[in-house]
This record gives sequence, C-alpha cells and structure tokens, in this order.
Amino acid sequence: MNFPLKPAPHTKVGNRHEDIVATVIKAALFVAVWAIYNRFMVFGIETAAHVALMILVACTASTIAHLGFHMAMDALEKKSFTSFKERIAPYKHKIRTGETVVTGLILALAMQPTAHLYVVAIVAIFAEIIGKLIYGGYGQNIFNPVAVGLIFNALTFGGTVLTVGYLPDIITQPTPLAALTTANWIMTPQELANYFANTGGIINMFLGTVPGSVGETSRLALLVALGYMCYKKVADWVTPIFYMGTVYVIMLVYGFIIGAGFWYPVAHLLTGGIVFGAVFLASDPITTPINRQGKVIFAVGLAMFTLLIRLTASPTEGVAFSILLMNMLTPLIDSKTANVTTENTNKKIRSSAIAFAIATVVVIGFTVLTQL
Amino acid sequence: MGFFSGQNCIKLDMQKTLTNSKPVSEYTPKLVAIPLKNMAFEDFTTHVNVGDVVKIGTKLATGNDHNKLPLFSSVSGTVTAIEKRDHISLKKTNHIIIENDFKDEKELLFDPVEDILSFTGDEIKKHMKDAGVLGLSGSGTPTFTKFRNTKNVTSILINAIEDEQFITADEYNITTYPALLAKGALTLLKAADAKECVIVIRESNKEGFEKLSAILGDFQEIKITKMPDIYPMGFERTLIKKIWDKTFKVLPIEAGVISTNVSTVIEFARTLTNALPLYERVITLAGDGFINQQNVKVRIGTILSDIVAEMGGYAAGVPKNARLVHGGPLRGSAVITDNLSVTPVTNGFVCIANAEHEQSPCSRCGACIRHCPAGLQPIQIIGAFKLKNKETLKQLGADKCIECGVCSFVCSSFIDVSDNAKKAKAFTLQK
Ligand code: SF4
Ligand code: SF4
Repeated sequence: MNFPLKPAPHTKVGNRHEDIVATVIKAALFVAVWAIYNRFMVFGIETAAHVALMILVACTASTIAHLGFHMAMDALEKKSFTSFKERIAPYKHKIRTGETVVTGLILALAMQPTAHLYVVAIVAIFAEIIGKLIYGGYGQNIFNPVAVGLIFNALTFGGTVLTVGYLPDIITQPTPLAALTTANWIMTPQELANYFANTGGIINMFLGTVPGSVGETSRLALLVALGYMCYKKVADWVTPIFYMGTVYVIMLVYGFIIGAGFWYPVAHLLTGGIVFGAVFLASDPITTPINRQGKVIFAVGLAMFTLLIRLTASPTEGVAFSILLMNMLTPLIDSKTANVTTENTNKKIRSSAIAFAIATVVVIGFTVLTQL
Repeated sequence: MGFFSGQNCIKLDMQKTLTNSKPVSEYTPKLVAIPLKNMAFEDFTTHVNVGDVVKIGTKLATGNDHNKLPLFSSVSGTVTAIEKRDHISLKKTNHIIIENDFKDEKELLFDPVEDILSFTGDEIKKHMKDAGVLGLSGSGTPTFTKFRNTKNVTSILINAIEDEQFITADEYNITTYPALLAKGALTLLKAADAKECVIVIRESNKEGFEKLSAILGDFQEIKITKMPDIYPMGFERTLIKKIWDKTFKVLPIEAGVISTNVSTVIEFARTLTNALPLYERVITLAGDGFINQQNVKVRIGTILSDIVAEMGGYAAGVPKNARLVHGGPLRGSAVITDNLSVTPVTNGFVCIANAEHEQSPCSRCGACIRHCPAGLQPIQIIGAFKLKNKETLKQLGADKCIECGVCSFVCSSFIDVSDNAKKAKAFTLQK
C-alpha cells in the first residue's frame, strides 16, 4: 500500500487557524450579547434592537465584501471553474470558520449605538476591503482592519450628528468620555466625585450601563472576553495588560501632579475605548509585534499615543489612531527585537523601562505644556 | 521559562495509554528482508549466497569501514534472494531475503555464561562490537564506538524518557525486563569504568519507576531520576544539562557522560545472556489509521504490511489523506509505502488516518516563539532566511536551533516552520 509523502508536522498541538478565529468570535459575541442585554435593561427594547441590527448588518456587510472581493479577483485573474460548486468551495470554508465576519463583528462593537445602519454597512465594507483584503487577507494586513474602519467612520461620518428617529433621547446624552472632555480633563477630587456621581457611578461604568459605544461600555464583559482569549492562548495577555497598566500608571502620576487624586486614572480607564482597544485591537497578533519584548514596547507606545491624543487633541478615536500609529511601527519593533529570547534578559527589562519612562515624560510634559 | 522567552517546551498528551495497557502480540513472519544498511551507511560485504541455509544469529554481512558492523539473520531458513527493496530511508536498498523454516535453530556468538556480571570490561566491549549492538533510539550509532575511549568517563546516562507520542516500545521493555536493565547498566558501568549510572524516566511511567526502584534498591551506583512529561525532554543535551549541569559541543563524552537508550541496554544485556545478537524487538503500531493499536514483538526484517495484515489491517479510508510515519509523530519521518522491513532502530510505526492540513499564511500567533526550547524566534528566522540575510540570522541565533520540530507542531497555520528553521541553520553555519 502506498502512502502520500508529506513533510512534518505529523502531529498538531494547540490552536489551529480556525480555532483562533472561532475563539475571537466567541469572545466578541459574548460582549455583543452583554451589550444588547445592557441596552435592553437601561434604554429599552428599541435601543437593544438597533444594537442587535447593527451587529447583524456589520457581519453581513463584511461577509459580502469579503466574498465579493474574492469573486472579483477570480474574475480579474480569469480563473476558470468547471462548476459553480468548485467556484464557491473556498468561500464555504471561510464562512464556516467565521473569517469573514470577525472584522465586522468587532467593528460594530466599537461604533456608537446612534449610527445609521447604512453607515455601519459602509464602514464594515471599507474595513474589510481596505483594512484587510487588499493586503492579501488574513495574516497579511499591516493595519488593524477595525481601527481602519473606525478612522474612516470618524473622518467620513463623524462630523454629522446622527440621530436615529426611533431611538429614545437617552442615547444621545453625553457619554462619560464627552463629559470628561467638557471638564477639560483637569479635576479636583471634588469634581471627580461629582463626575462619577453624574455618570452613574464607578460600578455602573464598570458594568456598562452608561451611554457609549456598543461594546465599549461594559469593562467587565471585555475583561471576561480577554480572560477567555488568554486562557485559550489566542491572545497574549502582555499587550493588553501592559497597555492598560501604562495608562493607569501615567495617569496616576499625572493625577497627583494636578492634584486630582487616586481615582483619576480610573476615570480614564472607564471612559472611551481604552479597555476595548486593549482587548480587541491591541491583542490582535497579526498587526502587533510578535515577541514579548516587542509587545511590551508596543503597549507602552500605544498608551503614550492614546493619552497624548486624548489629552491634547480629539478624545474620540484616540485609541484607533494610536493603534494605527503603532501598527506602522510594528515592523520596526520586530526587526529591533530580533534576538534570542532567552538571552540578555536584563537588557530587555532595561529597554522596556526606558520606553516606559519616555512615555511618561512625553505625555505629562506635553500635556502640561499645552495647559500653560 | 521566563517572561520574555515563553515556556520553551510543549506539554503534550503523549497518548501512551492507547498501547501500553494492552498485551503484546507476537508475530513470526514467513519471510524477512534484512536491509544492508544502517542509517546512511550501506557499504556491506555479504557472507551468504542465495540458497544458503542460515540460523538465527548467522552473520550475513559486515560493514566495510572501521566499525565493521555485522548484520545477522533473525530467522532460521534459506536465503532466497538479495535484491533492492524500499527502505525506511525512502531510498531503494539491498536487502537479504530469508524464508523462515520455523525451526528457530540458533548460532551462538560465544559460550554463554552463568552470570553476565562475570565478564570483564574488555570482554563486554568485545561482545558489544561483535554482536553489532546499535543505539536503538533511532540514532543507529554502533554502541561500542561510545566506549572506545573511556578515560574521562564518569557517568552513564540511560535515557528511558521516550518523549514521543504514541510509542511505548521502551516503556514495555522497562516494565517487562527491569532486571535485565539493571544488569545491563552494571555491565556498561564496568565497560566504561564509570562510577555512576543515572536512569531518567518519564514522570507518568509510574509502573516502570516502581518496578525499577524495587530492583535497584540493592545497587548504590544506579540512580533513577524522574523528568516531567514535556517535549522536548529526551534530548541528551537537555538531560545532561539538567542532571549534571554540564554542556558539550558535539558528543556527550566531552562532558564525561556516555548516553544510551534504555532498550539498547536491555537488548545488550539479553545478548550477553543468550549469546545471540538482536533478532527480535517490540515495536508499537499506533495511530487511528490502524484498526488495532498495540505493541508487537517481531523479528528484525519483518515486513510492515505483513504485520499490519496480521494485526487486523488499516482503518477504513486509509491511505487516502493518511500518513504513515516511521517512529513517532514528533521526530519520525513519513514513508511512502508499507512494504518496508523493521530495522533495529524501528520503535514503531504511526499511521494517522486523516493528516490533511491546509497551510495558511502565518497569523503571527507567536506560538512558535513561545514554545521554542532554544529561545529562538522561528518565524523571524524563516523571514530572514527567505531574504538570505545572514547578519539577521546570526542575530536571531539561527545556528542554535536543536531541530526538535516543536515550532512546526504548534504552528496554527500548519507551516513547516522547523523544516525551514533547519535549512536556515545550515545556511547560517555555512561559510
Ligand atoms: S526546531 Fe529549532 S527553531 Fe523550531 S522549536 Fe526546535 S529549536 Fe526552535
Ligand atoms: S506558530 Fe506558525 S502561525 Fe504562529 S507565528 Fe509561528 S509560524 Fe506564524
């Protein structure tokens, strides 16, 4: 009996490509379900339904974009197929593994629940094609497709205030992030306490029963999703935790300088997309550095840019912008950390510490300068 | 293990229970084909012609180099042909075909003695050479070459780890012949004039550990050390570093250690006892491609397809999408046919019914980096290798690859990472 000759590996351990995609989708779905339930409990059935529709539309749109793009490519390359079945076979596999919906799903979670459905569709299609497919698809893209979509959304539709007719007013209330911006970020402990009281309290902000993007508000759900992805070894905890940790520490120092007290960094972590960005964007292995040392540097740099943008420029989409910035630096970080991972541990700790110190000084120095 | 380097190994389900709990079958074939080849070496002078009658232990051929490696018949019967056949190395190789007359007549190498411990060191070494004892772990090195110069040798390492998935041939030998193992260890100590002998065994091989400890209680110079169930663990380099904290460049003897495989020691003790060369061994048939996964005792030179037919055949659907591997799935190599004969270094065959994997582009999951025992970044090495960038390759330590294959097993995209890492290593080392 003859056997086909194939190279090693003859065995497989751990995640397969499909498992990775499936795990991310499960984590994102958990956040999505939580978000819908949250909206239902706080704002009522219409908001919840709209959020659910947004997610559905985004997934459908990115799937259509994905398939359409590949079919167009096939047509351009004049590939010939003997049957329709053969033509759709590769796409069937992609749909089954969920590769086509993952961008749309996460994107929908990052958008404001006030977005029109057609905007969601356009943004999802843009993210799928420009953010991912034109680079050659999964694994080849240098920019995080979700961040690309968010920036596109901000630049194209961000200026217009979108109100969806049937939504209750509550949803157009200022988000905690907007409230924090209005207060010009600098607060005394008293102001901070008032702020938390006005936005519904720390607990509610942690649970997510406050206005904000679809999936961003519930930090609890996001942390559970992160825990799940790390447990399944799909995400490395280093980037998200170092990112949030750096934000926390820099803001703690800053809070002491301006006299805002111990809870000041918490206000930053509980507003905007920092936790969401940490869990779903910074943990994405494709567009972030591949080894631990690079991940630490990436996370620290990401925190620096996020805070700079947040404190001195536009508060919204600061996370997405800084993700794209750091994505650009990823190949550089990768080549600078090309070494044997078990060697020179002290040097690695030192370089990480220096990166951290630079980030702190830059953020605080720049912010204080602009305040003068 | 460290923050920057990841875990440097993989925890594996070794899947040993598939075969280690089942009884061992015995199969004596009608015909054996003894390959005139040991590893890459195939320059042999034959001493028999077609039509000759041979016995178990009759010398069939001798190697034409300074090792003078002898090959023996594993059955009694008649030589029917000397012809080229498929070999596990994938190259056509000369084989001596012998038809078994089932009389099992034997030709002894020397006069057996009452107690093999009465042999002197030189006698032991002489028998080791004359019986053509080989490293049975897969290396195929004639064992006596390790004992040529034993001046600096202080310790003997007996590797009973068997860190391969599925394969339990060593485990069977340990649990069945602990007494032979002890005796073999003592003779090796004598041959090398060494002081201590360490047997390393897998943590999960509890039965083997108990049986060995019970016997070894009387011998001060033999110690058993348990090692955790991770891969890679059975590499000489890893073990010698762990046990004695010593390193070496090429051969363990530089660190004063002679390292052997456990089955080699047991079979050598048997050879000294019954004055016959290795003519049968236990091999493991495992993997879902076989209907019966179990250990089988077979003669050297038995043809695999005969064994499989005797053991119940292949599962439905084989060989479409299947893969047949000589050795375990971790370090073994795929073969293209089952018309192959069992060699002394064959510890088993694994047949995986569905090994169809679709390769996808690297998803940068980092698994290869987290698990590389040498602390390398395999995917970065491949990238630099594609660009033929020697500078970066050196920086990445491409020459430190231990060729363990871990990066390929863990790759989520089924890329042949280790294959390329090996090539990159060769490229980096070349002047
Ligand atoms: S084969 Fe080489 S590169 Fe791959 S894991 Fe083993 S040592 Fe590392
Ligand atoms: S394990 Fe495979 S997919 Fe993951 S980084 Fe290494 S080569 Fe890429």
